[in-house]
Amino acid sequence: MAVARKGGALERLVAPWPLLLGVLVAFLGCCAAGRWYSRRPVYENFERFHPWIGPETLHYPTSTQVLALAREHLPPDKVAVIVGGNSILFGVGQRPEFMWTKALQAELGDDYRVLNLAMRGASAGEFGGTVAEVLGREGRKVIYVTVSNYGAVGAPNGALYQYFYWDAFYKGLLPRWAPREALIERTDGFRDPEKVAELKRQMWLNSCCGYHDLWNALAYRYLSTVWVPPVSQHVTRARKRWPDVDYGTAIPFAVRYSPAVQPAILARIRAWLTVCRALLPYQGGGPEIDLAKSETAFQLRACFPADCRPRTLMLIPHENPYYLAQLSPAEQALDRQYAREQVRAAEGVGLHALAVGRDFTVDDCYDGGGHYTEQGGIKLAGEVAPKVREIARRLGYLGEGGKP
Amino acid sequence: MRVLRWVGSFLLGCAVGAVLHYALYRMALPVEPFIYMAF
Repeated sequence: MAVARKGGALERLVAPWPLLLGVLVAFLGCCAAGRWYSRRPVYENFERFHPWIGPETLHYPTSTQVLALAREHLPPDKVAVIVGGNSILFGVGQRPEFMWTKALQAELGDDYRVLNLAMRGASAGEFGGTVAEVLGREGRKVIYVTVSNYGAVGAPNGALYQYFYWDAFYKGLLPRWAPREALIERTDGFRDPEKVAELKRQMWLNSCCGYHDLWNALAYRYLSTVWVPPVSQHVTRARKRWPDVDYGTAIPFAVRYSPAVQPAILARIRAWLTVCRALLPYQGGGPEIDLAKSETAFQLRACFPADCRPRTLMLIPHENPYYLAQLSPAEQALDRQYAREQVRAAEGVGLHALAVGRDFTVDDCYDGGGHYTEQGGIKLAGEVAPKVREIARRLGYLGEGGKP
Repeated sequence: MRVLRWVGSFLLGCAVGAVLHYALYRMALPVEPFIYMAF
């Protein structure tokens, strides 16, 4: 005879099917909310991705959220100037109200809209380059301004912000393109294969479930649940309430140009002078650069698909005069020559290029990291703006009377 | 009583579902943020 089994307290309190239904409804609801948040501009009063709304504090803006931000900030009837690259163009050393992209906006006027998507430590095509590529293919009037990192353009998916590329890739925003994927595969060969595979799985899963999109948006708007040392005083404070802090030149010169770091900076410059010829080899005895054998040219082609190159402006910064003065006259001449040759190499593969900062003074330069002071930022904007206007004219972005 | 049990179970399931989604987000975050050493 069968004996009815008496259930425990949990079985008496919880009904399994409604429980399972609740799990499914909530999980799918979160996925739907993630998709909803991925298509809407989340970031308010945006100036730049300062550390408290960036990966340095474990806040990872997704590709669709940044695209939504760009679409909101860049009206289709204006020429969209998207600034990418690293901390130089991010504006480290410049307070947010005086950062160089504001000076660039003032120089260019109301027919242009400048958006600073530069990220600290990013490579030339990383992060902002993805956004520019997608918007450019949508038919927007896009000009992408980025910066070289000593002739090394880097992998198309970048280094510190690889997640952003894979997020865009798995969300179907970037088409497959063999040269790009070949370089990514080559670069991934130097990385931990398990971490590479894990990152791809994460971003694929995010494209299905939108967990980054949802919880990022909630952390930015309402309540952050991620602890990192920079937010330790207010762990749960919404990320939008954290100010963009840069002390600029309030940090004394002696600290910014500390003698302790000088040997490392001079060694870095001299290393560049040594490897540049290998990155930009001459055809025969020179002076023409052999673009077919140049690693820099190869990386530029892989990072910027052919349709993106005519709307990309690569800035080649001259060295900080404080450190340049400590090199021998021959090294100084070589440094200037290599800046010119980088311009030629970038133009040779179809990009626009401009060497900047040649006549800058030490007061225009913030530190040995290539950053500019607010004064230097204004000068930089003054050098970049005419080139941006020229590119806009060449691309046919400006109609009658120079208006978009 | 039965309806109450079902509603309670459903709400508990909702909480579990949301926590599961949140857990995916947290698992995707690195243990430590990268430290930008250049300055």
